[in-house]
Amino acid sequence: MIDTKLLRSAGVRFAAIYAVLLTLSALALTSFIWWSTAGLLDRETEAEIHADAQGLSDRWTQAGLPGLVLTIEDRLAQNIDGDAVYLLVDETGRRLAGNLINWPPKVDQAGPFFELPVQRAGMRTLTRVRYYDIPPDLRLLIGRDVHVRALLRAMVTDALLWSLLIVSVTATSGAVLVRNLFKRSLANVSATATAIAAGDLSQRVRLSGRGDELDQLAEVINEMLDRIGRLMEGVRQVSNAIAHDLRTPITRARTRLEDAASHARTPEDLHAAIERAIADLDHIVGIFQALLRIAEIEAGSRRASFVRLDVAPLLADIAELYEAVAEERGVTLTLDVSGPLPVHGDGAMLQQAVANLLDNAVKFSPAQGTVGLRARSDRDSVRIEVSDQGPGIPPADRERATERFFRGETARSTPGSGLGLALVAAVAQLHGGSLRLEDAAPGLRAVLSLPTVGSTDA
Amino acid sequence: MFLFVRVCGLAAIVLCSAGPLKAQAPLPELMTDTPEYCTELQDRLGVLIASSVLPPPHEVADLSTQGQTLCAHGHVRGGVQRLRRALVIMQQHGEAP
Amino acid sequence: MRILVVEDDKDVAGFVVRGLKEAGHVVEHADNGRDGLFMAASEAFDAVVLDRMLPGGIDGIKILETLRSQKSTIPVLILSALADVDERVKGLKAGGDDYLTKPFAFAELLARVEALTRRGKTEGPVTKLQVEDLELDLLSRQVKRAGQKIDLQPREFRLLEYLMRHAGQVVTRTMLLEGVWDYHFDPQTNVIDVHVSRLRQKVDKPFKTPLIHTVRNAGYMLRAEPV
Repeated sequence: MIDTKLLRSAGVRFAAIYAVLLTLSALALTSFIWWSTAGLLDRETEAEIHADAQGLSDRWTQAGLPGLVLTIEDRLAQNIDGDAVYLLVDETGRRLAGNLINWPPKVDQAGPFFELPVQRAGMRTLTRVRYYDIPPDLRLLIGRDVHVRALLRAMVTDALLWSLLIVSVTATSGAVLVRNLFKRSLANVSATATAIAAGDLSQRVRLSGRGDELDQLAEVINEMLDRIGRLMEGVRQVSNAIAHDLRTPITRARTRLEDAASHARTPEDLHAAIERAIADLDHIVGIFQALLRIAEIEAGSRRASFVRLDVAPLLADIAELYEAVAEERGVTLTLDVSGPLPVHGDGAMLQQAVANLLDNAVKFSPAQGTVGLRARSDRDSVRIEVSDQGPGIPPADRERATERFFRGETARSTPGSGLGLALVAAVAQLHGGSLRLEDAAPGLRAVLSLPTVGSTDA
Repeated sequence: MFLFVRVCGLAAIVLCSAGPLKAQAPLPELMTDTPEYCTELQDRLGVLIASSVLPPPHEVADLSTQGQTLCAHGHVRGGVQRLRRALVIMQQHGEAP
Repeated sequence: MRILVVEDDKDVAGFVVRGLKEAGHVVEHADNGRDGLFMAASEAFDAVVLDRMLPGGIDGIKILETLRSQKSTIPVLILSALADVDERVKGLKAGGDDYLTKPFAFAELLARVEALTRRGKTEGPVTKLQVEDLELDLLSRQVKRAGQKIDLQPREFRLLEYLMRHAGQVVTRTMLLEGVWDYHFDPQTNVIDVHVSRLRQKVDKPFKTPLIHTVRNAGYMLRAEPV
């Protein structure tokens, strides 16, 4: 149980992988060092013995047994290193030449190398020997004293074994360290997530300030949390709005119907009351739709449909739509657009935003007034300005004018839902731009700025 | 794995050689570490010097004397080594001309 | 005309069926997806009014896809409480001919259903539209009434063209906004009324009989006889 639980921990997995990798590479390294040092000593000895045997074999072919015996004695006499071991015996096991007193029973087959302990001047030493058959009935043993080499080899081996041990200890403690680091880095995120799951949306992941991957992750998570927070705030606002602002028209419709039900005298009265109630309900539905649309825009899902587009023709179209309305009210609509105005966005949404601005401007313009639609683009942004000569919005109210259901003092008497500017602001925000309300002295100037294509990677 | 096999083999050998098993069986003896071999080498050297036309280099005489002294004092391996070196030098000296 | 209404809400269905019958159509009603699909596939209808969300596992989109996969070209108007742009696109992509969001005014529904059935009938490219003494030439983009040339702005031309293509039918303001301007939002002021009234100034005012009529609580209609 514990085992599977441990294995499921990513920290333990990383730590184990770290330890195994480190140990494996240390093992590979030590194996290689051993092979190229201690192993080399063995191979050298074997090569010497082999060369020796080759020489003696040649001698045997050229000079026969006497030559072979002589050569062995010579080689022994000239063996300054004092490490040579030879023994040549006949079929009865009688020694013909060499310095080993008798044939060791241990060396019983030709071919492989044997480790043979021998006595040297009263000291025990180790030799490495090989047995060669010389047809028809002679046997030759060639060997080297490897006592010093064996000591060296043992030393190297010991050192390597110790280093392996040290590496595994280091790897294990390193693994524990890695695991703790991992756990600690995630503890921060995990604590925040737990707090949020428990309902405390104000919690944020702490940044270490190192700007590493963990910080980046923390930033992304924090951004996500901010966004969730904003959405929640939006939902709260909408529900408040529904609670407060929809109550009025619903109450009105209800009152009308009830009044008609109990007081209407003629079918005509009843009819008229019902029709007014339908109009009220349509108004409520309109508000709902606008609210949902704003919520949809604020949720940001429409960003998937963004394309690169030129706003100039869209503005010309929408101006053409409103130009007739303006004219009917005795207002002049001037269009001053110098394109192209490239942005990355949703054309239909931008048109609706500008339509809302024009709608407001025409609505609040005095007769004989002028409404201006002007658009310019510079290096960073496309600025779309809609100005009127109406009463404007007092500076104190401008901040709140883009909130849902806000209606200025001067706007109380004009029809409208109070959602027009909120929608424009939402559209601006969705496009990474902004909506600013300025004093056009006289009147109001609404400035919708959007980032131009190329200045952002959105 | 290779390493471990080697290590185990080595450990066994070290154990065998270092342990009290020493007395178990008489080990074969090397005859080139005996005072007799000292004598044999001296004889060989003597023959070589006698047959040489050139007088032996003085280091041969030095090594020979040292070798004999060491052998006489029981340091057979040291004596044998010096005598062997004297022999090798004498051999090369004789072949040189 | 025979119209199939697939709608599970009793009140809405009753209201739509009654209204369509009053408008002179033969109406069949199915209150779930299974029956709706069966009827639409097995009987001949001139149009289907299809609710998107239906009980019984088969929803409106599914019915639509099944019909279209059987090469049925019957005009379908989708009714839906889902007003998102994405939902509208999804409905039209599945093969819907028009999309109407709940709640709706019956006049809007009727106008759209009638426009759909008409659309199914006009076949082949038309180059000239004519209603009484009003002529509209789509190739030379000229408009004449009683032989007299009328100068129209491009947008006015398209507005008149739309009205003439739907001559004898009620055309709502939303239909005009969508069909002529391709806008899918609801302007707060009655911009359409202003444009129609401008068009009237040119097309109707100088002549004895008006052709463009206002239909109360619904929209407009172009025809010779008064509404």
